[in-house]
Amino acid sequence: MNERFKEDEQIRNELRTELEHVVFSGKLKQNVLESLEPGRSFWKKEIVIPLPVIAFALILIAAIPVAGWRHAVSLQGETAIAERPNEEKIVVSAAGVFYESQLKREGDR
Amino acid sequence: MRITVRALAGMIVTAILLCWFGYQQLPSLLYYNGFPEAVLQWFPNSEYAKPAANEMAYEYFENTGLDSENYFFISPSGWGTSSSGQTVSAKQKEAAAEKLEQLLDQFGSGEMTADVRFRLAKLYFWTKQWDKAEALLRDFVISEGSESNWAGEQKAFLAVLDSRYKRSDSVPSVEGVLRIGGKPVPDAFVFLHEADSSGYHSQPFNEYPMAITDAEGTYRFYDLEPNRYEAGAGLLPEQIAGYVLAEQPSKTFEVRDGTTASHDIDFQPQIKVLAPTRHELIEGEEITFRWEPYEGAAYYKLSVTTPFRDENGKYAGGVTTQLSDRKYETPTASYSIGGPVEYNGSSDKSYEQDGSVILLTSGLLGKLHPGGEFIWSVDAYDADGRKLSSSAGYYLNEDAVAPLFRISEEGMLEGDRFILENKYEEAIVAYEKEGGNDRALRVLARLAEQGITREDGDPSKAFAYLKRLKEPTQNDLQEMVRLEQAAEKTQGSSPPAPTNQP
Repeated sequence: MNERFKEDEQIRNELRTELEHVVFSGKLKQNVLESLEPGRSFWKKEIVIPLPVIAFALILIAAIPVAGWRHAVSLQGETAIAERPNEEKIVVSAAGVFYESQLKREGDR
Repeated sequence: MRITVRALAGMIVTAILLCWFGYQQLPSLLYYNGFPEAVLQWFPNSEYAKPAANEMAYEYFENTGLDSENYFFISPSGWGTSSSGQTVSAKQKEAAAEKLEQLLDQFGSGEMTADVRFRLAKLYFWTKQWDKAEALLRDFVISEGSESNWAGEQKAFLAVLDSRYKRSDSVPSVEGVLRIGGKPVPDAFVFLHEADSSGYHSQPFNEYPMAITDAEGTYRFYDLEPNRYEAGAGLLPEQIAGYVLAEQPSKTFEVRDGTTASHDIDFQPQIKVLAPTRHELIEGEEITFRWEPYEGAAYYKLSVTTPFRDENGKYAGGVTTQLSDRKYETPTASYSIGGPVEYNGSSDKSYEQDGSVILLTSGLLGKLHPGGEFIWSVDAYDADGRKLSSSAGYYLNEDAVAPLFRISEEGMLEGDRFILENKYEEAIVAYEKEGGNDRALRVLARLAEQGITREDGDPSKAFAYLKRLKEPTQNDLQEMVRLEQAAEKTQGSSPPAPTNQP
């Protein structure tokens, strides 16, 4: 029994050494797998998505809400119908009613 | 990246679900994050559209700054002369009205859009589009428990709008015409205030009975409680610029049951001041005031206001005094600067919160003194002493110039500077150093008589200062007599000093 095991091990090692330079391509692997599992479904199929496509999709997903938010903010800016009305404090004194700027001190004018 | 079709499909479905959920939540997200405009534009059928419309209505209206504070409410007793100083251009008003009308068209005028309807009504009201305002406010039921007190405001607006109609079934309690420069003023506000009430609201809308003048400038109030009232007017700054409320024979009128009282309100052109104005610096010992003659005036009287300024140099109040008792018959008057202080025997003493004493500067240095800043005004009277007009009106025209002037610091004593800073102890030391300067002695006498602490002054000390005058005037001599008598009275009232018996 022990002798037999040693023989098998030897054969395996020889086979490994012999096939070391043989490389299976992705398609070949696919074919092998399909041949081993003939009823494999569409859903289990593997596809390769290139990295740039993934990056583009992620950027798009992030950009849509950002652009929307910016647009919402710009819409809000249009709310102000015009500039705020001119506001100047009124000063009521026994000498008359004035706009505050009329009574500013000479140096402050 | 390698991925199975199943995993990819799962990811796509999850993303679609998330997007759908996000889209569903977007109106609420936008609304609660302060983007009502976006809600209205992108989701006009969402449940958040009407609240967003209400919010936009608030913004459109508030941006115009339109409300009762755009008006000056002027009463004969001088209160309520308040306006925010805001001016709203016709373009702004039209733009706001247009936006609000669009919202109302889009969302209807149910209770859900009460804000839109109410703000548009207010905009119409404060821009004097009475019929439109009334149409929006009438038959509009605001439910109890509404978030604001609109039911009360709606009632007040409608009551004012109702005053436009002359009732055929009853007589008014009071009727009168509002005129500016002799011309009746239509579409202006007139309000009443009970003459015996001491409380005032500077904004009378919704506080006091208010009416709108008709095309002939006539106002009417109905169903008033019998009492004495005074009537004031609510006008826009551009209407009263250059005018002043004329003095009526009586400021108040009596309302009785079954009869109509009559009371007109007139604004007259204010007297135009010519000089000094525009912060003019006055040098020399005399100042000459000039103004345009006023029709029908028999004489004029002048007053000056000493402005107080806050730490930023802004006007923070002032004290007004009549420049002299003199009646000027021509539109010009001269007054000597730093002249003798008019003694009045009264104490012009007030106390600050920290207990320190403040004395009236004009009572110490004279009404016009070197280094001072003043605003002057002139009143015109007819031969019977009735005030016809004044320059103390509304300087709100673009070309209006404030009658503000300064007096050169030339001749100012060191003590005067301390007086202006309310540092009386330092002022006394400085004046004492002046030796026999008559002006310094007069101020020292005033300080001694009034006292610079909470204690009363000492008339005998004041008398002693005046006795040292080199050139006493008639005024000074009269004052010395008064002070001598006051000193004797003070000594007489104090208990006799105990005598030592051997």
